[in-house]
Amino acid sequence: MKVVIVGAGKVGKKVAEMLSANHNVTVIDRNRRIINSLNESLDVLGIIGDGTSYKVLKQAGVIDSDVLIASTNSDLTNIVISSLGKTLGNPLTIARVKDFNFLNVWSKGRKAFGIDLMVCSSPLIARNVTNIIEYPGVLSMRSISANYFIAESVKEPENVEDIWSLKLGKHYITLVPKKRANKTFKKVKPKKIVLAGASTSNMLIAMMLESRNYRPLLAELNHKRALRAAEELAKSIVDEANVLEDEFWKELRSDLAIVSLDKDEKTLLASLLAAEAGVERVYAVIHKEEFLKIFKKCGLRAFSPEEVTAERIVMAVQRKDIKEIITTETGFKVVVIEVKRGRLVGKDLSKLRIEGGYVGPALSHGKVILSEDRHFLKEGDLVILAVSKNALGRLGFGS
Amino acid sequence: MVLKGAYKLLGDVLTVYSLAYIPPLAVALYFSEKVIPFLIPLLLTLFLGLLLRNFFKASELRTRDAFFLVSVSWLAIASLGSLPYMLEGVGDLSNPVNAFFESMSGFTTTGASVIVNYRIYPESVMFWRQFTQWIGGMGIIVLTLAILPRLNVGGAKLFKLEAPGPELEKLDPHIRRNAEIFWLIYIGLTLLETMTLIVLHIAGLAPLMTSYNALIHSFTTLSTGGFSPYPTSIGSFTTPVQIVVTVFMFLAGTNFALYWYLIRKDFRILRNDEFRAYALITVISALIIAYSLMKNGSSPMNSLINAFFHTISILTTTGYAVTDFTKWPLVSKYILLALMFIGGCSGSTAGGIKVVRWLMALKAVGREIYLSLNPKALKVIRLGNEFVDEKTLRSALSFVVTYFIIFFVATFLISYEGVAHASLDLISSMSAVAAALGNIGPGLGVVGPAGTYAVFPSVSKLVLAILMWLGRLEIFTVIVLFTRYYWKE
Repeated sequence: MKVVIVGAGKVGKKVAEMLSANHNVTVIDRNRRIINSLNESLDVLGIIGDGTSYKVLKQAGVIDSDVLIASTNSDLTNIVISSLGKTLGNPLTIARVKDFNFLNVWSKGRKAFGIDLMVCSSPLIARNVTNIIEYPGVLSMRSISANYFIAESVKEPENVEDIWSLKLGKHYITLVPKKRANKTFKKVKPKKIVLAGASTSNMLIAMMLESRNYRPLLAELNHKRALRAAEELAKSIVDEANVLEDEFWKELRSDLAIVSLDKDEKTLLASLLAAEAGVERVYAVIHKEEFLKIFKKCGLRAFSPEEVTAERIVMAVQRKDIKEIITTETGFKVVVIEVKRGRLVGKDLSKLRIEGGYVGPALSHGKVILSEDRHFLKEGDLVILAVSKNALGRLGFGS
Repeated sequence: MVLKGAYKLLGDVLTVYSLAYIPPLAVALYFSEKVIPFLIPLLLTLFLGLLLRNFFKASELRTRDAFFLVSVSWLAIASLGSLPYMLEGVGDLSNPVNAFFESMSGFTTTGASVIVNYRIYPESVMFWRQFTQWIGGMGIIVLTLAILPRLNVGGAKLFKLEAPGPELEKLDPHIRRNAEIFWLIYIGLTLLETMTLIVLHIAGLAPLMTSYNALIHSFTTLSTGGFSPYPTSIGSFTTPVQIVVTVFMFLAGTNFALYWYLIRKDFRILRNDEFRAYALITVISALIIAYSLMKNGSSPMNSLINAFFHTISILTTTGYAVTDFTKWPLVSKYILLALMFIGGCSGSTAGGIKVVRWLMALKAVGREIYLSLNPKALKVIRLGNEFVDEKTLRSALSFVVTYFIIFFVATFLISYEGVAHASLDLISSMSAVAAALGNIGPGLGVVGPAGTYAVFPSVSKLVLAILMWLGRLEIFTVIVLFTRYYWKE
């Protein structure tokens, strides 16, 4: 397929890298240096220019392209680019936005602004974080169907006689029935949750926590932002406090903190202060994906919206049947594929093989079927795969 | 330092390269000549290639590996390519130094020769000589990129190092497809010239230009190489042939990417600054030379054809000749010498400094002059509608400077040895260095089109062969290998 990506920031680059093996990728960016290095390091065609200009979009071949991905730094630009793309040709348009409100508006209308898919990371991150808030040993937990979670945990899951679990490196990937999450993993209700920074993701986390009857404390130094948070959040407590001060954390005696500030450096410092003051679990939401390792080294669990966004976009382009991609800390990605008409239907699960990964269990009508079992896939079944990072861009089946 | 990423790929390159011995083998069989000189190198190269491919694991190609791979590949190819000359064991070429010189001169499309007597060599050896230039013209690594799928990700680095010109110009997202496009255009143009020459032959306008001659001369025209199995080069053929060859030399010196756009009905070739400058230099130089030849008493038609032929031959670094231009008036010889330092367009098969680098350098000089009068002005350099990145500009300027430094140092080395041995004059040694470094071939003085490089002592020949290697890979690719930074992790 012909894919045009506008904006070679972190997300754009990552998406380009993942898609380049299987597709003809053209990347537009205004920065000459970025494009030159991209031309050399990736198997993509870089074009220097403004992605909102007709000339540049035409040169990049948007008119006959199959997919247009707008991933510049500005939400408005991305929306404009997608609309332009729809006017010039008929590509699948994907726009990345940071502001949750745009997603809200878009999801109300039918493909508003000519955008086929709007990707906004904050609700994804918020859901990821709130899902694991009550399970200390769990690193991530994502809902893949009405009845099942996929969880990555440090501790071995308990009561697993009839539950599928796979050990990858030091971690466990488990398919957990939603009703039995409490029994599989140790549940600890946090007593005092602190949300540091009134970022979009923290605001969403606060709302989600409120609906679960928690009363988190949200700290924000900026008066205006704090005031707006207080207006929007009914049950939470909003403090106009500086989370970069040692005393803030010492006085609070919280057991769980979620730090999400405007700069990653600040987030790191605040998270370390929290951990030092005795907060048992600290989660950090950071902007730059490459800092994930550093946070991990400091013993902190960090989430990167960029990574999640890039995966979402790749998912939408790569295969229409991918339902979920879950990044694990073992270097493997867990991919959930929904069996749709044509592809895969009628194939034997036990004979399915993939390049660079393993085929896990399948879910058929709410029942778990192990990968060794003979099972002919039906429409609507979910197949779970563990795929190495590099193989994600060229996911295909052999038998 | 361990260059893990390079060895396996070197194996790939050699494996692909071993195929190059098949055509001369076929020629040897056809003319009932010895096949051993090609069979042994074929098997040896294939063996080495497969050994490297199987012995080493695939690993990430880092920038260092890329430099090593490209430089060493060319050295290996030229060395292995000298085997047929030695194994044939006839005449001057049986000497290892001469064989290496001829082989390097072939692959780098230089066209300088040590052959004194052309008649004693079998057809297959002469074919090999022509064929090495054709292979070297578009480059063996670009060919490997087109054939083997392994190099997708690091491939762009290699492409940039082998293909001439200051910047990598991609035509398609996938590097493999880029390599294919360039090779296909190259093959297409070669066939087109062959066909045109055959048509001339059939029409009775070129009695000597048989289909075989048409093919082997097209090999060395499109690669801007300049070898010919005839001592009198293109001068052996009729005027219509000379005109056709002139046109195709000019085409070979043009950026191949522009043809790609042309095929897709994009006429940016007309707006391309480099192409316009290239055409302008050709016309102005040729007219001045033609005028001086006419004043010297030659007919207007002859002067024009000779002037255009040699201007283009030297500018595109081909090195064909129809007459001995060393006997021309001084001003004409001077212009040819100056053209040696310009070269063809980037993205072509031509060598030399390249027109685009001169354009950048001149614009940068112009900007310095402007800035000395308007110190606060902010001036960006443009080529056509595009801005030139400061980094590209800097590298173009340092390329020009390095080119001249190497020119002066090498001239010293050649002259120094020349003092002890043959009685070379200054213009001969200077033009020999310029012709080797620019991958041109014939120079002025004793190394003119009627002369031979056999007059140089062995060490000088090796120095010249290294200059060809440097020139083909545009200096920096090779030279970084000889720095201390390169070998320090």
